Amino acid sequence: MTQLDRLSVYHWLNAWCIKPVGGALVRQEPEYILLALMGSPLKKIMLCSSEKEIFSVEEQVMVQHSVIINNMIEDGSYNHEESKIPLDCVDSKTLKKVIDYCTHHTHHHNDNQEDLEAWDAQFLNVDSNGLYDLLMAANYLEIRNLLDLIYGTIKNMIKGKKIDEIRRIFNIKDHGFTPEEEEQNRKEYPHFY
Amino acid sequence: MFSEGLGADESLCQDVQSLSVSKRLVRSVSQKLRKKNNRSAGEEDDDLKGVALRCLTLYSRGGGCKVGADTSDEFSDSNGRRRSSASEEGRGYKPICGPEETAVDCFSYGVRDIFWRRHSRKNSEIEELAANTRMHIFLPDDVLEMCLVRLPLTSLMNARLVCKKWRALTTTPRFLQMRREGSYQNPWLFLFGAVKDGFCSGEIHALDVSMNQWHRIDAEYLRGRFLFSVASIQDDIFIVGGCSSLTSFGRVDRSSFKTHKGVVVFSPLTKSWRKIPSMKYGRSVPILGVSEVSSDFPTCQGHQSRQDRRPRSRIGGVSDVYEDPHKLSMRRHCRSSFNESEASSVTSRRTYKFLRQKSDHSSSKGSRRVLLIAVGGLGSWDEPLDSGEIYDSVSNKWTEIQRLPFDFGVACSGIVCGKMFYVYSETDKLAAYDVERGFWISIQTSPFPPRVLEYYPKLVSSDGRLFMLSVSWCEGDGQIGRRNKAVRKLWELDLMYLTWTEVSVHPDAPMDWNAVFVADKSLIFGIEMFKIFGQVLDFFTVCDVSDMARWHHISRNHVTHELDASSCLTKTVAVLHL
Repeated sequence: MTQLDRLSVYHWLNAWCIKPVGGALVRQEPEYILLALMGSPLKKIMLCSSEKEIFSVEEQVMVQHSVIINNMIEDGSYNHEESKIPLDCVDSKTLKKVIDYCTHHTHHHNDNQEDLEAWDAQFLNVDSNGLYDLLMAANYLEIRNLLDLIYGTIKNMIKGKKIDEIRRIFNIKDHGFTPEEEEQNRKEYPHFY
Repeated sequence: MFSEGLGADESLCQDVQSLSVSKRLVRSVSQKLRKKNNRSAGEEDDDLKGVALRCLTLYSRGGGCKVGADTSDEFSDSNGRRRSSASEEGRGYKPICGPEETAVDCFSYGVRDIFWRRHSRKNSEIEELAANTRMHIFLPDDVLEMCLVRLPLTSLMNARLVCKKWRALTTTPRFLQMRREGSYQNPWLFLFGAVKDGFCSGEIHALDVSMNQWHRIDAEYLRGRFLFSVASIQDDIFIVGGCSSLTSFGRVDRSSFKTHKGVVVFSPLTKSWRKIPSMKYGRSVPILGVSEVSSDFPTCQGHQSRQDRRPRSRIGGVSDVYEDPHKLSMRRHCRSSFNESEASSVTSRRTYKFLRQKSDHSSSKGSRRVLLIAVGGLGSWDEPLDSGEIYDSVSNKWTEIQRLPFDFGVACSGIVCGKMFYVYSETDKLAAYDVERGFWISIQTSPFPPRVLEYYPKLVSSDGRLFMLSVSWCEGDGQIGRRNKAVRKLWELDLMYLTWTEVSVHPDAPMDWNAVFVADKSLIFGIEMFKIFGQVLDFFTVCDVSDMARWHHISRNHVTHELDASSCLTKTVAVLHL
């Protein structure tokens, strides 16, 4: 995607008769238009997934959320014209989701807490594999708030549940206690099982 | 690798699906029943609250209502009967608007409610199913740790029993440290002094404030003990002094009793009890102050000798003869006490030096040092004491400190704030004990509106600030035959200018003159218990001093309906961050 400056975007909008109202536009890549109107230059960076697929994201979005990418940009090793950041441990599907998360949180950080939480809950409505991949990606890219969110989700899978159920959910086949210990625990805390 | 994982998931999904239909049915039926019970309980609570409020205004007008912290238990019916009679009476009243919404037009509200509940239940069921079919293949240990550290205490205890690895992960000191620092802990209230069927049962009722769940802990050690004081620090609760009946063991019987010097420490996390050395004097309801200090905090305890030789005042004083009946004459006692105090000041100076040396060693180990101060209280003959003692966990000894100031009166409440131990007297005097330098300072503050005489103010410290809860008249001034209304207010003392400012007003009418107030971080909890309509009710409130100090109610009427009315007198509460 080529970089467009503010003037070009303004002309483009006028040509298509799109009236921006309060910064919210229902159009493809609204964040692109939004940022262009806000007057900041639209620097984009390229992220390359393990499947060699290239994703173009705004620099500001990724820098705000990912410590790793922030450090990479800051120490000047990234060249905007040609480089792309290879992320070999993140596949395309997960990378797309991560980018989605970061973009949403950058643009909607002024929303009220409930809406953000609802969006987050919807975002994490994935199966266990997807959650695991997201976790690994967030860990690698060091995205603090996404990590906290996932930790919280896994914590909720443990909180309030009985031990037998937790063992099932987390696939713990061998609990490692001796039969006597296990029996003792069951007798002492029957309501936990 | 990915496809294999997906396959396993899918087949599992299918299995669960086939089971799910019947499970869903069962679940929906049980949920329906549970929700129905919750709703009826909630209604009862509303009505009871309405009744309580209504009754309070009657009482203050001088109407005939049997309300108050009675020690005599006239309505000693079984639990079930008591509860049903209250709710029957409650239904006759229309609930007054409180902090909760009360239904005015109940029929239409109920119907709407059922529709909404059925719809939300379906959604939550789907979510539950989805959650149950998630199987985690493998989570690295550090991720597991980060998830487990966020668990509240009861779930953490639960997680420790899941498997050996989880237990190992959650019991390392590093994990506990991370949990403490990451603000994943919540306040827990421990209610002591429960009297059931006339016996000091030694039960501790613990309230997990965040989950609003009650837990009961049996404390053998406290059986038969009453009128002790509690103070909490870090993970421990100190239980100091108290009485126990000599004639009828276990009963709250003040006709013939023994006053304890013993101190015991209870640690709820490990459910362990340990004894520390006993105090010098037996005390019941001593005023306690506890603080954690650094290992090289200087404590000077040798300043008591000179002042002690003044003549004893009758109010709040202890007669020397009765202190030790073996001593033959007052003079001899004075002389010997002078010698003792000199000797003790010498030894305390020596111990002071010794302490510093010792602390140099212990500071390298990073051991915690706790100071526990006990002043006042009632002695072996129910006489008010003005002596004080301090316990140092490093030396593991009690040392006597300077007595309360001469005309201070009987101490009724005390709290540690910063490096000072503030004590309030029944005659509205405020004094502070400088722990570092070892002497009392009388504090002159700005006056504040006269309080209702029977309600002694309670000092609380939160966020390094000093507060007081005091009951005063807001309508009338206590004269009989006039309309009187009392209100409990939260005041703050400006420690620089020594002025009292009103912070907030407690929403409940002050029915319990022995209300307990404890603080945890920036929260102040209020616990009131009183007997009304033949039943003991408890009211828990909390306010956040860092945020407007508005009072909210928590956990109504869950534990005390089984208890005797004398529990209102003997109750005492400690709060811990667990």
